[in-house]
Amino acid sequence: MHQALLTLGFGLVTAAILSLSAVAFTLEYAVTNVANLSHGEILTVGAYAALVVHERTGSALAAALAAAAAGGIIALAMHLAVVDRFIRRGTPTLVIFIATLGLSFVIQNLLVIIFGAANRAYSIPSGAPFQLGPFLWTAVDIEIIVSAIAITAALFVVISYTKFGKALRAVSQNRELARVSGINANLVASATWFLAGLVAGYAGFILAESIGTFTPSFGFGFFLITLTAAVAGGLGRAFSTMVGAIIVGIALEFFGGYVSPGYNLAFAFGILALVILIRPRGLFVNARRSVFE
Amino acid sequence: MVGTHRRLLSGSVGVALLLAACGGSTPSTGGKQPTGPVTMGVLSCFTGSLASLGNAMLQGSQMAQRAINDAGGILGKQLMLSHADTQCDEADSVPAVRKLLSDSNVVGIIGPETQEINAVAPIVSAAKIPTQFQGGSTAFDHNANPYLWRDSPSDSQLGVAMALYAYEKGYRSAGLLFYSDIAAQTFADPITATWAKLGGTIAVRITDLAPGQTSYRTQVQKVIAAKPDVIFTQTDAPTAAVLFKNFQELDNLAIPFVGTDVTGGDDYLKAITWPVAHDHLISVYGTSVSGAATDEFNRIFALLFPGPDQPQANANYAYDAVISQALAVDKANSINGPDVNAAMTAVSNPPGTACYTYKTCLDLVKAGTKINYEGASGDLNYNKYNNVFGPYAAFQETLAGQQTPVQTMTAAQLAAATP
Amino acid sequence: MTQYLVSVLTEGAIFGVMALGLNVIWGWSGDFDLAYYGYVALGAYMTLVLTIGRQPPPTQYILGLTLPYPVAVVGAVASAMFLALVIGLIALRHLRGIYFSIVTLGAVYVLYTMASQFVPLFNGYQGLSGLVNPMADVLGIDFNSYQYFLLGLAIAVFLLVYLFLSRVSSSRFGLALRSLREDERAAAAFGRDIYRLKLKAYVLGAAIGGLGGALFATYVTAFNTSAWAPLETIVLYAAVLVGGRGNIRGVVLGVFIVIVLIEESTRFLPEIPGHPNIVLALRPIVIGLALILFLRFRPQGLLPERRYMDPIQEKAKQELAT
Repeated sequence: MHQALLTLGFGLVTAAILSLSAVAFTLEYAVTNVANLSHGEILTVGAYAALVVHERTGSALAAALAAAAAGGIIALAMHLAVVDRFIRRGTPTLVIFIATLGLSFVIQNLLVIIFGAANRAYSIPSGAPFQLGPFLWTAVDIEIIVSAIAITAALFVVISYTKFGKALRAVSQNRELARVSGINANLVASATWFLAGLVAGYAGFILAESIGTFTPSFGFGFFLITLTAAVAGGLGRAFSTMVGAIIVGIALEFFGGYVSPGYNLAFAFGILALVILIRPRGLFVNARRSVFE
Repeated sequence: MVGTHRRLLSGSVGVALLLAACGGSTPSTGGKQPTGPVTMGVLSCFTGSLASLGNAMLQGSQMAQRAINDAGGILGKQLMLSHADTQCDEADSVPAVRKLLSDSNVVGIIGPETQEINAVAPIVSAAKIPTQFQGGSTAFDHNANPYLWRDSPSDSQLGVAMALYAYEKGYRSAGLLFYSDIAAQTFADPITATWAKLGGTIAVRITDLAPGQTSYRTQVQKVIAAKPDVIFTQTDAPTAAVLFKNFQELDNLAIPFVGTDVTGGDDYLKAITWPVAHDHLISVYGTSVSGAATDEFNRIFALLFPGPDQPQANANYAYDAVISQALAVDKANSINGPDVNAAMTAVSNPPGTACYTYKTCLDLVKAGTKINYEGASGDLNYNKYNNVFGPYAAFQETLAGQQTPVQTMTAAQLAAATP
Repeated sequence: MTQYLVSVLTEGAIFGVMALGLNVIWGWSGDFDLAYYGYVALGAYMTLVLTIGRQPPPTQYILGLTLPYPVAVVGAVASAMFLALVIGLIALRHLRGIYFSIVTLGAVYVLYTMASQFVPLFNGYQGLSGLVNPMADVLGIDFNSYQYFLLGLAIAVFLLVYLFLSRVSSSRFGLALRSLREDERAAAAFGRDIYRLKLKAYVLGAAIGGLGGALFATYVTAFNTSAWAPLETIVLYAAVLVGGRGNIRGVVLGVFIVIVLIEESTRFLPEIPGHPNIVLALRPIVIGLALILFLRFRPQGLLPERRYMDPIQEKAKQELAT
């Protein structure tokens, strides 16, 4: 029982990170209808930006902010330079999907050139672990969970209650209709990708902190699990994606703890295949049609 | 349309067979002198998680190259070093070694590592070029291939050294934590056997850690629960980073680690960070014998790489490999593979006049004296399996990122502890 | 220098075979299959375990027979076809577009994970080695001449596959496949059994991929997980896309440009000391950029597919143009 609770505790950390990554991915999908295969690279860029800033300033807070900023910038760049151009031409989404895969290649290897392929690590002290109820967490673990909850709450407020949030929902439901109603769909899409990038960049930083080491390709590996969570939640639905992420994150931690962490990806894809084949709209099919239920 | 294609098809097959029949004859370099600079190829991983091994090999080779060229070269020609990246795996090592062998003046290969030797061995034997294997695999302890040599002691000896060091520190209960890579598998048995002979117990044994995972908490908890005094370990750098993180989370790194030459490598130490390495890790690996050869080794290092850095772990073996191989070429007075190979033991095994630097050895060879090269890393006296034995030391990482020896174990001490 | 050219041409021919197989699945059938390199890898692995016999521990793997080389190749192709059948049955039934791609990506990652983690299968990360010069003793070829024989064999296989596919291209099957790609609903209206057609194409493509993998294992003499990251598929896609998707002559051109020119030209770039990874990393960057640029500006590739035109329509078009 003790072991199970420990595993649950670690699973909550993974789930927190996964939910941020998955929500960001879903936001990207919602406003452009594009499954961004280079989403993982936003996390990787965030992790490296944090490394550079941390080595220079020694401040974890500055590193976190740098990660978010870098993520936002790279996501916006992806959108403007590649995705948006294809969308304006009316290219089928499958083609854009392929293009984002090429983009992933490019970004990963640019990082190899700049930083080298070897593993890097932060020298951020995580502090000794301590018991919090039945869970064994370090100070950093707690920060990760708390910040994930805070960011999620902020996103909820923005999406549900602000003017921008309303525009976002309109564009994701029906881009043409939104444009006709006077919303600048392109601007909304760009802003959403930037926002998603901020979240994903920060997720990259905490992911790298949590694992302990990272390379230019670590974002892509995590992305495959993000994809599972996003599809399980329902492509394009932000909040059910979050629930999906929590479930997948905890399930993975239990699988890794009791069976073998080596097969994690295989397990994740097993879930993914099952969901796609049985309930392709996502596990929470009874949700209402609009995007953010 | 189809007819043309069919003719094209049979034509190309015919040409290929024709080429195979009369083309590509073995370049005969029988007893001949080099037509230009002599080459040795360094074959190892220069990228990837074990890149520190290749870099160390190259460093040692470059030092030997300097010593050799300063003394006039090999058979009067300068020595060039070529290198090829195997990425520490078999599939990439094959085109890499082929690239090195394509040079017509190649007289020797330095490398590869344990991961690649199975794929490389048939190729270098067929090409009849002496090859200095730099890996520690215990399977090589009974090597029967005449073209493969190893001038560094086997991991069976490294295992003995690790156990001896830990026992003398006062530890009595040990855990084994190795990853599934073939190069790490060879440690478990020598460590266990030596540990038992000395009187210690093994509390937990994990030798199949899958590399590159994002969490090892289950295995780490298992190790902690067994309460060992010390943990013997080797994994690659990325795995180590995650492992140490997990240990930090679960027991605040309470148990000390004793590692190998891999754990003393640059990438590994950077991955777990220097302060952690300083406080919790000792790496055991072969060291240099004190004496004239090591003095020469250090002199050249200071010449080529001025600054505070120390020579990388295992660079001394590559250095000795190149020097002894060069001497064999000089002795055989030929760059023909089989001739050089036959001269290998003639320059480094007793009896003979002991010499410690390339220059002095070369002068003796030219004068017709039988020499016995005693290297920086050991006496290079090959046994019938083309293996050698030598001293080891325990190294600690300083906070400035250098490895410093804290204890030495001689070949004799190790022989006494060997079960 | 000759040795180098021989090896480049041999690799080019082998990748040409792989690209031709991919063209069947993506170029003709229109399925963005991300599992393709898995079939290549399976072909390579199976060729090895069927020929290298038993090696001493700690090496472990299944089978370990010493079948004659041609038999092993047939076995490798058969196993690739079988795997494709299994994956195709699941993925092609109801899935199209992104969902199909994602499921195939998942499938290849499962295969990759199994191959690297489950050691008794193909010896995990270490992989397999030892397929040195098959058929050399039978044909009496010595070690140094073998590379020429292998070059000839690779070219011969490539030409065979090319001829076979050019026949298929203009056959009823090929035409039906391409009509399916253009508009599934129309094709269904005409009575085509979409599912069976796509499955046939998928298995055929995978068979050719497996054949390419068998040749690749022979060329390298060894194979392990670092030799096939599932994303290697991108290089093949770039070759097919750049050359001309759907046009087998375009595929040949694409392989030449992407694999021979780009891969090999980066090999000759000077190494920058202290940054050993730059040259290695430039290749995928160029390939990724080529992929994006071609998709944006010339999605049909350099040699566009020759559309089958109704002769009356064709004539009318020509008359209008004059």
